[in-house]
Amino acid sequence: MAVKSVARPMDIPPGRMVGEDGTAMEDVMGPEPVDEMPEITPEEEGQVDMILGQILDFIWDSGYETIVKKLRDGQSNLPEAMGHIAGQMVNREVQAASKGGVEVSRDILIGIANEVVNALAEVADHEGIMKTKSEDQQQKEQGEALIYAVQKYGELGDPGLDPQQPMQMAQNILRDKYPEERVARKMGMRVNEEEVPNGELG
Amino acid sequence: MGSVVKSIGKVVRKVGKGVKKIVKKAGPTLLLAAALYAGTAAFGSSLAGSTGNMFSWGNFTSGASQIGSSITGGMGKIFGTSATKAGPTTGLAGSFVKGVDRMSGPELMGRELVGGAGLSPQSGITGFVSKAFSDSPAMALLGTSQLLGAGLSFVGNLMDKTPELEAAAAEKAFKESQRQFDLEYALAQQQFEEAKHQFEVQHTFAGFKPGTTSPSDLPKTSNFWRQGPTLSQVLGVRQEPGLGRQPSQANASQLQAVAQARGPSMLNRSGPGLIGMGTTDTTRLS
Repeated sequence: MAVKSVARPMDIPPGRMVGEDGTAMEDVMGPEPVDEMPEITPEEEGQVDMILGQILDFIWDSGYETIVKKLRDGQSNLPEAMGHIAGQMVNREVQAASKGGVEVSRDILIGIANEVVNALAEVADHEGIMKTKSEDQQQKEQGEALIYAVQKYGELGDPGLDPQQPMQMAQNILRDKYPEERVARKMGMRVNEEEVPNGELG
Repeated sequence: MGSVVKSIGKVVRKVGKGVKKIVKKAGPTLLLAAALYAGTAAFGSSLAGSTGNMFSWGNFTSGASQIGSSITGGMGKIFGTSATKAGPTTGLAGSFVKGVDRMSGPELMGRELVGGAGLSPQSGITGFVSKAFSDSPAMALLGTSQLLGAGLSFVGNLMDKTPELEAAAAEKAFKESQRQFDLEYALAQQQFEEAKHQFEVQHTFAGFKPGTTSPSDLPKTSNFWRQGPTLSQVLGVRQEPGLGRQPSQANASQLQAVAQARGPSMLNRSGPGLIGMGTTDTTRLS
């Protein structure tokens, strides 16, 4: 038996906000703001891995003893010691990459430095050089070290660094338009990095 | 590849040294604080036209105090007091002391940062990071530049030095205020409509306004207009389990393919119908 289809009301088209004079709200409010901060590119991610891999290899292998000695020497102001080592290593790697024909994005350097500082803090902790045990305090010391790393990087110089880049990034931060995590990712901060708890294998 | 080598090296070191702990990495906030430091120092460097270390402490304080004195000027205009009344800014520490005297409050950075003729780099960096950690990088910069109360977007705009960018920022701020107004207006209108609807519901009988009975008098939101379940939904509900074949789960394309293969009718008799084809006997037997 043929079944008559049920009558249904027509779909209501999506609404459009209109002002009293009939002007569409889009015209009053203007276009949506353009996203001024692009996401980190795959190329930049590759550069983070490349530079960071080299530095971390050095820290945990051939450079370990030298780094421990430098950290012991700078024990009175450990953040400064960690920052100077980190700034120097990042600068060296960036310059080496430039000479090798790879132009590294300067946006990612603070993220790389953050990872390097963290590795140095672990070394300092392992060797009993870092006396701070509070997690918050350890974070603050690493934050200070990061600023010392920036200073050291500038001191060593980088012909490829455009002053407009850090200024632009600072503006983005001050305008508070983007979530911290997004800005941090753009700066090369790694998330969900694999960790080996308690130094144990699998 | 590097990270693999690193992990192995890390594990070997840790096992060898009997290490038990992993130091937690500095979070995004501190990363942003470092970037803000770098940007402010680069700004200070560009003001001074210096060719040395772009990220030096001197350039940072120069950039921060420039931002601070600019805000002082702006706020002075807003509140009708001249910024020059307080005297020219003589540097970060001096204006910070004035700022503390004028605007002391819990949001300010600690007084320990102010030391004699200026901030030492070490205590300055410690204070900046502490403030960023406990509050935000922007507040740390504001604290360093000794001024509070100005909008962060205003601080951000200070680095836009070209008139075009300044005009664009002003236009953006205007549009934002307009947008806020429009949103508030739309919200108020929505609240009014809702209140009106509630009133109508409470003062009608069975959805009809007093004295009216035709469907056209029903409020738009009356249950009368609500769409009920479809026939197929009703049939589906009424279908008894275990009796006969359950509804097929075959998708539309499968159904269509089967239909094409078999022709328009399951009995191989098409559209016109048995009567339309003349005698029923011949077709049935063909």
